[in-house]
Amino acid sequence: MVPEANLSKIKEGVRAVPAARWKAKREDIDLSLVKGSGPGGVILPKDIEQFRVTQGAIRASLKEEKIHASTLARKLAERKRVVLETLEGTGTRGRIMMADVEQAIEQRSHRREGVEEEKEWFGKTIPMTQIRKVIAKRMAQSAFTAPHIYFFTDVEMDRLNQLREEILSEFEKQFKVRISINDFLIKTVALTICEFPMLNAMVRGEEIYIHPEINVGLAVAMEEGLIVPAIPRADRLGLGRIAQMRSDLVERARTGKLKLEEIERGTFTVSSLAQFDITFFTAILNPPQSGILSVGKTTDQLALREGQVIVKRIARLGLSVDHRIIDGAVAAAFLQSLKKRLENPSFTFMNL
Amino acid sequence: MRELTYAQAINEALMENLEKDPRVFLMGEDIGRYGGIFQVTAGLLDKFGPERVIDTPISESGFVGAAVGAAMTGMRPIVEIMFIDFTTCAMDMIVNQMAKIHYMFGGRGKIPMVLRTNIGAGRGAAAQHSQSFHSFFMHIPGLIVVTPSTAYDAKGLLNTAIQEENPVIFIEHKKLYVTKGDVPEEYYAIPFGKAEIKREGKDITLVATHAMVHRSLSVAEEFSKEGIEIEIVDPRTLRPLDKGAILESFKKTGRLIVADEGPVTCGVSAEISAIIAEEAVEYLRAPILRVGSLDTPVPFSPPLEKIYIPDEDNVREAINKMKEYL
Repeated sequence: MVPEANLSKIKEGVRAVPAARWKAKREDIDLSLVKGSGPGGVILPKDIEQFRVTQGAIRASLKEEKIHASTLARKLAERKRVVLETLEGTGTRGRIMMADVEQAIEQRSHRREGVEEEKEWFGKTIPMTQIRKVIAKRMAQSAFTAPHIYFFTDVEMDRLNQLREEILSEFEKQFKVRISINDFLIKTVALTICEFPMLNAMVRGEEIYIHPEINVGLAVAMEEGLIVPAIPRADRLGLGRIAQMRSDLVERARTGKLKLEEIERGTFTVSSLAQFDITFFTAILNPPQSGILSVGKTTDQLALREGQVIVKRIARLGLSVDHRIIDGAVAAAFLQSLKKRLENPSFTFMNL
Repeated sequence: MRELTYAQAINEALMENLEKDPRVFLMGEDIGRYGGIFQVTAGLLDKFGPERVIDTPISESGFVGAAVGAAMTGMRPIVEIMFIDFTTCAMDMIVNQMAKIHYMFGGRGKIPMVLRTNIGAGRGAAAQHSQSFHSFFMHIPGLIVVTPSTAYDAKGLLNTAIQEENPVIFIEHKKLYVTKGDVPEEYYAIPFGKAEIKREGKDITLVATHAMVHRSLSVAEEFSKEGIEIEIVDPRTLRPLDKGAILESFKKTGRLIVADEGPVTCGVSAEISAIIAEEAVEYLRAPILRVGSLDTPVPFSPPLEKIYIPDEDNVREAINKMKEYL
């Protein structure tokens, strides 16, 4: 991935009518690779069409060339969903036979039983999936354009945990969803952003744009990669609604049924690895956002209270911000305010 | 169906409304004894008498003002201004009175009047009798602006204009008065704000008004032989403007030419182009092109006047330019 500055240079040279630009964007086609047939070489929608057809043909011809397989092998592979491209044929001139497919199926079932075949992975070249390409592009863009600074703080979670325990069953009865610590975090972050609007901002050219709505995204890990659906106007929603929306969004993220709008609307991100044995971590900003909260696991720590040794539940929170528009003092004040809110949950969630 | 000229169709609409509705009366210069400069009101004085078909002095401001007053009292006056050029003499009455009174009196005063006039060059009538600045009136909230291109549309739209409770600027076209078209004998009315697709096509949307509709239709046939199908959309009223129909056609073709006889700068085509840029830019497959008059006064010299008027050649030129984006 080239840094933003280079990208814009390339794009300047590309002349295309608006309909062609939109088409290319929708189909994720790089306009600089397309040859324009309009006056002065301007790219028309039909050129995008042509480009796609040619690309498809090239891909198809490569495929044709590569795979020699018997009819039986093809049918079995299709039925059992074995990707023929990954097999080596044992037939004449490397033709893939039914036995090869059968063997692959057998190996696959071994793998499932835990008999991992290491040679399957090491030394292999794996093409990036569409979602991986997008993540790669966005993360590189963020890391190379937004100078990150990081802040950490310890938060006493005892009172919040206690509040959650107290309301858990009634809450579930009323809202048909189990409230999680993340729901409290989302709401608290949104409330704290109300006090620090810059954490809801983005860089736009030489301007700073502060989003009118506070939409808090929650990073959801999937096998294919990370996705961040956002809860809209979290500052104005009750915990019940937040929990319901969070549960629905996470569920649909895992089944690939999110709408683009639900991913794009985020103005701040919460990323939690609390279920792992991770003390704390730094997070890359989710562009074009300017703030991301990273949540480590909660641990027991000893403390003194009135001469007595007691145990406190401590979570370590990290905050990454875009130093172009947010200075250290602002970030520190934000994180401190967030900490105070979390440590005094009855006041925070009183809905005053 | 029987054929009438554009002028006869308007004459018939005036006559039928005079017969049907005692509140209707006409005022204007030379509209009675002479029958109107383009004979649009011919025969009406004899039929309805000087009380209802009134020849006025050369005083546009005076008789437009009189009509505004009459409309307020419940009459339905129709005034003719000989050329659109002369509306400038009555601009205060049109812009500040006729268009505003309904609004300024909280809806308690209505101005159900029609102001008929015409545009179009090509008669060697020079700079003060040939202009096409009808887009002026699109710019004034409170006015309805009607631009019929055929005899059928002229009669149907004039019937609607006379029934309308708000002031209407009814803009005819000099070169169209003699063109013929089918006109039903029975009463009919064409609603405002409804464009008509004068020709269907899939490749280019050509929004055309007045005489540009006819010029575009003949050029479209030539291109049809090459396999290029041009869709011609006639808005018929510029205010209200049928944005929906224009957008629908444009979204289909992705290419837009606007042909209107007014000078291009700040004209009808500028407004329509802006709508496309604001509401459908992602469909744009080629630059928007405008066909209109040159930004000069209308020349008196016949060869220069011919160059001045947007005609078939100009439409053809625009289509040829756009063809490269097909």
